[in-house]
Amino acid sequence: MKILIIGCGRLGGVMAEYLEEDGNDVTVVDKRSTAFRLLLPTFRGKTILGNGIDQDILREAGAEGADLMIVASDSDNTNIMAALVGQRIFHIPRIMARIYHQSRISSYQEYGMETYCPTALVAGMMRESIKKGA
Amino acid sequence: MYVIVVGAGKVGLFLSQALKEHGHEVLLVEKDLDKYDHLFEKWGELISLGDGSNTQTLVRLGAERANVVVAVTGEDEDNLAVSLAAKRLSVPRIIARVNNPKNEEIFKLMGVQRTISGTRILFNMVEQEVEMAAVLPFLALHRGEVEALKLEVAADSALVGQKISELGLPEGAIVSGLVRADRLLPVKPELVIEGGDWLLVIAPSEVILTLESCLHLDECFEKS
Repeated sequence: MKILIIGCGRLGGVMAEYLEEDGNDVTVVDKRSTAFRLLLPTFRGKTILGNGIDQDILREAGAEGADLMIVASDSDNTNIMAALVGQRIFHIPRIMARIYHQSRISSYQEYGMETYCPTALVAGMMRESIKKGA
Repeated sequence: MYVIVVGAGKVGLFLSQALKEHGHEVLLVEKDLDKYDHLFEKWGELISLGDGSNTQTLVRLGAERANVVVAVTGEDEDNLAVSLAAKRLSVPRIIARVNNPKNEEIFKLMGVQRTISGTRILFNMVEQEVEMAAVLPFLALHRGEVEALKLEVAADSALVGQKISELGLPEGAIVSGLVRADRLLPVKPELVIEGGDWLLVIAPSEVILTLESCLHLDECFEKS
């Protein structure tokens, strides 16, 4: 699979390494050049320096023909805009989005994107664990 | 009218104050606490702390009865998110600032029709000045997509003796006025152009360059 990852922070960086290890063609975009230092020296995927909402940067990163886009920058608004550009302009069929604010989940889902809110996931798991008395 | 302005930068502040002076109910929304604190001293209740890209915040600020939401932060991703949140609440008019003209496409694709790009307006005007020395753009209308130009007809111009109806202007361009001897004449199709006339032309920006050949601008008009 051809995979595009926006944001090379802890989540984006780790996903890039995992997915490359699984044999995918991975490109990761970040606007901070220092962000790529987080990647393991063994990472063989592509790194593109630039803003993930910028069409030209996404094109350079291979958005045309990508099978999957993961948006994981540290800003929800950057993530939604990058995801929409990927979906509406480059017609990437599958988009996964990390979201900080739980309240935004429904709006992403309206656009047919998969959402992952770490806070909500962890809170839910803790709650279940407490209910079970574990 | 109730107007919610998101983003208390220079544009947002100016806009809010001007709208208030024109008698509108205005609420300026800023998410940065330091900026808000600083502005609250001077602006008081006019300014509110909150993230305008969050639907719930907009609801709290009364967006459901707002006539207009204006997104004028310095970041296009924030302006898009504000516009989409306002759209979700069915705000009748949404106006978004687009800092980078490249981003206009995604705003339009998402149904945010009213976008204003200062960069594009400036570009259109500068381009006219550079490439169209023969004409004088004096007004950018409709966010720079329509331009008003004035052209002086030289005495030896090929246009002298032609009727307005014979000009063969590109689609969308119209001669809206003709000034002869300091008097504005009504433009009728049979009006014959004379040397020394000034034509006032309104045209969509994309046909301005076509206008040049239609009107023999390079040979017939002088820059005023």
